[in-house]
Amino acid sequence: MLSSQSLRHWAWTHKWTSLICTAFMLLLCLTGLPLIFHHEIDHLLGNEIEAPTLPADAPRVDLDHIFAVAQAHAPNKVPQFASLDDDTENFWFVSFANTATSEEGQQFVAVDARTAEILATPKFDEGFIHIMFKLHVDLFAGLPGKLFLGLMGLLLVIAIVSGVVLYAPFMRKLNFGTVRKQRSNRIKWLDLHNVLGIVTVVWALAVGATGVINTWADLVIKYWQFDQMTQLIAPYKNLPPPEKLGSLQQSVAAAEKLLPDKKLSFVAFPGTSFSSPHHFVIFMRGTEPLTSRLLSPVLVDAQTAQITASPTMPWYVTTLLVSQPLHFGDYGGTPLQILWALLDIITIVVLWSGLVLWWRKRKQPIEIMLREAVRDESNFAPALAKIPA
Amino acid sequence: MNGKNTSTQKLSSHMFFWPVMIGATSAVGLISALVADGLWDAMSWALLAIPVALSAYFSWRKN
Repeated sequence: MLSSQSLRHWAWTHKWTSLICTAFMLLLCLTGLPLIFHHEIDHLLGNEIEAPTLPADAPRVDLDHIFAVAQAHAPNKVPQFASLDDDTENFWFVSFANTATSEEGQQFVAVDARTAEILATPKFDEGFIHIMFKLHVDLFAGLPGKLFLGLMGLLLVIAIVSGVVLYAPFMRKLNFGTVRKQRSNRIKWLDLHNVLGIVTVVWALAVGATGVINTWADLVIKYWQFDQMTQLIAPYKNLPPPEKLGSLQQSVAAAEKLLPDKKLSFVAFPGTSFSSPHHFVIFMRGTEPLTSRLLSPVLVDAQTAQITASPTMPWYVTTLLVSQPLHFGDYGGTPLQILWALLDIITIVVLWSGLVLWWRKRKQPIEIMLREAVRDESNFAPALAKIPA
Repeated sequence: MNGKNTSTQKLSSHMFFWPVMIGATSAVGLISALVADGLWDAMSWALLAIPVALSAYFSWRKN
């Protein structure tokens, strides 16, 4: 049980961690709301790519040809990633940019996997969803923006934990779920803040903590390069990067043959943050719900299309991969998305009510605040007094 | 039961009974949809609907 002094420390912690992060958390909750439904919104806006209906057994075009078609559309660009559309598997997405690691000059080409026709050249760097995404992920400020939001997320986690500690003294005399509506407006907001906060606490902690982990994604991949990739590509150390790429089709086929129980997730072209200058990395994934989030990289020599290595992903990459669905809420169909949105809205109410409680108190002189605090605390002060510090 | 005395002496374990129950079911709900589809998804929906339903109920019920 807590002494009144340690309670004051928790109150101080709750107040300041919340105050610093609340504005950003409100922004994240508001921008996160449309992101939960980004597929549906894209569909409504007509931005979704649709491949023509062909017989299911229509033959697939050689991947090297698909890539050549895409590259011809982005002649001066460097390829970064290629993936098969998850839902239909009817078209390939190939992404390009000015260099293998830059985000400048990005270009995307969707190529029909059965006809090698270009279906679309979507622009992902404009429009409503893009603005929401950038505000949510990095405030248009790249890695520093991400890490800053991660720090705000850490403050949120501390605010939640300290909020749970403070829940006890406030609820000492009240039944679970009490919202005193007939008393002052402040009391009503306080009770709502406590009740809504406590019933959604596990969801908020899960989404908050996995959000923080996601802000470290770039660093985690960089560390993976340093930790695992450096050793694997040591034999290539002093070689120049390949001038002409070997067969992508053969590379993917080799990875699929090596891991027959898995499916292609995406291909990282040589030189990206997910590959080496000398390799395609073919990322394979499981086919069960649980394993579909986990990636197995297969390093394929970018000149000979021969497999060099297929390392196991270290725990920190696996943690990142598993934390993603828990943040996005995209792993249980539409009902889960709707619940995610509702819980997000409840969190907005918790954040807002916390802000209101602070704002109204702030305008009162300290004497009144103290007197009132003592009166409020009379709910639990007798109980506290009996408990040794 | 002497209402006044017992309520001021309520241990935090009592206060946290329902929060812990709801928290535990939320946690199972968060994980179950990750494990598999079908029934596991449905279980996740049912369990995560609890905090949403309680929030609505406590916010709007008349005293």
